[in-house]
Amino acid sequence: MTHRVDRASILSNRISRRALIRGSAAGAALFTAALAGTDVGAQTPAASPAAGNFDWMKYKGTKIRVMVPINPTNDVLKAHFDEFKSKTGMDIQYDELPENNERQKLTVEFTGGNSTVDVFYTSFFQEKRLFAKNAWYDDLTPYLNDPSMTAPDFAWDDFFAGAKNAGTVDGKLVGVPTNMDTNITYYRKDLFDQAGMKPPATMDELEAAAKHFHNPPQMYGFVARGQKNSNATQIDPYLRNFGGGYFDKDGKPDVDSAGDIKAVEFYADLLRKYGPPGVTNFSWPEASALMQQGRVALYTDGAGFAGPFEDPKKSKVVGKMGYGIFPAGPAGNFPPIFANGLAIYSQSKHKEAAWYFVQWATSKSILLATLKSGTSVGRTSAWDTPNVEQGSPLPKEWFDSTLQMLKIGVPGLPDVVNVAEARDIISVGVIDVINGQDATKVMQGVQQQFAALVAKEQGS
Amino acid sequence: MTLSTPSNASRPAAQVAGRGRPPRSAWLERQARWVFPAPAAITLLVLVVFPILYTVWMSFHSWTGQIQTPPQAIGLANYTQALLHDTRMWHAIWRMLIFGGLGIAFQTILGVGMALLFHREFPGKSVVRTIAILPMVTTPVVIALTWTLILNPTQGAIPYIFFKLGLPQVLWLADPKIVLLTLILVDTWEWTPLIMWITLAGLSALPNEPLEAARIDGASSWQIFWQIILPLLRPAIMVAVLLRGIDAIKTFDIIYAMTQGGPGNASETMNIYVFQQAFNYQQIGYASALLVIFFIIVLLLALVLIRLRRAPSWQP
Repeated sequence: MTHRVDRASILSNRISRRALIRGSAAGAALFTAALAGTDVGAQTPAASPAAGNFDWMKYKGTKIRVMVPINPTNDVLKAHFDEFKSKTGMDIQYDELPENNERQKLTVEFTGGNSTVDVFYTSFFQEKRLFAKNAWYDDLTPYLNDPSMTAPDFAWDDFFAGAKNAGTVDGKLVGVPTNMDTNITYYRKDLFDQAGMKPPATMDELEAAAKHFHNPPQMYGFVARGQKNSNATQIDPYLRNFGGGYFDKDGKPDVDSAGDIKAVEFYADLLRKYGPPGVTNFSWPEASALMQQGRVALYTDGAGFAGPFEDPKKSKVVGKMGYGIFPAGPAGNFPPIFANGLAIYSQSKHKEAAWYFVQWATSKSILLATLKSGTSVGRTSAWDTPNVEQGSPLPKEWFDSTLQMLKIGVPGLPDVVNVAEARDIISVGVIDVINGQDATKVMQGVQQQFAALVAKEQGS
Repeated sequence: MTLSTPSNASRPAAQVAGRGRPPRSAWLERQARWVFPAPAAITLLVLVVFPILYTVWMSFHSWTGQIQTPPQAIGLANYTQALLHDTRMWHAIWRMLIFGGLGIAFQTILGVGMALLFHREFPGKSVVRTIAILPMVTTPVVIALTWTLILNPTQGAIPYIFFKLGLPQVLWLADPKIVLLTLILVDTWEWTPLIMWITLAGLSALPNEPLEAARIDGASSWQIFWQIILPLLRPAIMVAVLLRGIDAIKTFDIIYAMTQGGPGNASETMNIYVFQQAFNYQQIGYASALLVIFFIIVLLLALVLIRLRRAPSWQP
């Protein structure tokens, strides 16, 4: 069955890759250790090749409903559906919607309690605690531990410890990680080369470079997200790199520390001085569009948004892009990790068939194809593939920078139940500072609201 | 389903009546006052009354959509939180009133003006009149996205024209001081035709006698407009204002599609805020309490407007 996966896979050098995946177990273990964190995932017997009567055709004829947002990860998945259908004899009802709409449709369906969704895409960093509290996730641990339910080559231990952690709540596996995003710096390599400059490795260098290239309205020095809610994931690493964060050492809410204030001031300053007009309405599509039009020199955002820059149909900067690390701040470098994955709805009527879809969609070959397309994933074997950049639209620099960030990354956004509200609180503060209000005062207000939110959650 | 219920219910009753019973039509005849309104009444009950009562019930509970745990009763906690501590809600209510009030003012002035214009005869009138109602029949989200493009600071037409004319840059949707006004203008663009249409209908129904009498008495056209046409038109205008006013303060589509309440919370009206609480934060109980407050405000405003409409207008 691996044979069939490989044949349909987009890769050209499949033989060497297959051999290498098998041979990479030792390297994988080392690498996983390097990614730190405790290993919470079950040690699965399913991972051993001795496991018995697993049959991909077991649920032949079943039709499952899959609901996902439109994004590069799911585009790769969709491109391989025929492979899944011929491998399992199952059929897929595939509902894909723009990100915000999908999240709302899903929660409305689940709240209504009569959803027919079987498999859904879930952002662990955003909704894991809320969905777990609402019992919307099915516990995947039993399937994973059952050799007759999980393909022998699924290899759960191939996932990074951080990825396994991300998909786990209170010891239960609620979703299998697909893409694990982290932040990098997008820059115009051609312009930097012309100017004899190196991509920024520190915040000071970032500001200097933004200033150097800023020449509006033809060219803006810097862009990042300013929009409400959306900017919270982007201010996140700035907060930590300037010595701030969401909680103090005792775990008490603390978003108005000196580091937090400095970070928000810095971010807002960059956007105000060197950013495009109207940046407070920019989420990643707007910021990416500006980059694709060749009108901005620097852009910090998720590594997973790289693909479209190298697409000649959408982009004027194909081959001109550089992909650097996220710049370190005075306190160090703590890029965020935002893990997403596929989960099964607890009220699904086709849970077993749904698990077949989930394990196929997160298998080694699919996640390798995902990585090659320019989306960071949580499987060691994918990253360990030699010359992984071959056949990918992205250069080696993207793979190097992204992996480097993943290795030192920490979970992004505060670990609370109502992440959506926390994001709104923080992001509105960022917008106020961009609009010229005093950062100290604004962040004190943010702290008050954030502390109230945390208190409410702990009280209930 | 709602339609079949009354006739199904009627069948056994009719059969029980026995052989010598009067024909069914006689039964229908007698019960007509119940039978005919029944579908409407049942529909209203299921689709309007039940949801309202359920929302009120939910507003005394705390629930995030859990499957296993039913909503927990928390008494008046949602209301005390909203009314005493939630400044975001008060800001949202204030913005909602501004949006509705200013919007209605612009739309009434422009709409009545357009109605007076289109009441006259001029060549090509029917074509122009048809074009004038196009904004009203266009899908709101299409309108919103088109305006977002037109106002886009780096690519939009209006900022480009401003730039070419040497006017200062205006961040229509990004400046927190301006964004609400921009939305009101878009709303005005979309809905002025409605006011025009209703006023036009009122104009064509005006009696001619008072106008002729005034002209004979030597009134200027200014006097005729202010002292005769406008008072006579008042009922029609008030209907338009009532309909549009209630519609305007609960506007959701164009605001959500253009700004989602942003930047920050600068254009967040009550409806947008309730939506955030319910579907973004999953605070279903709290959102229900906000909806009840919203409902009461709309009800009060409607009562005031209805009262204004009933006020005497013109004594012959």
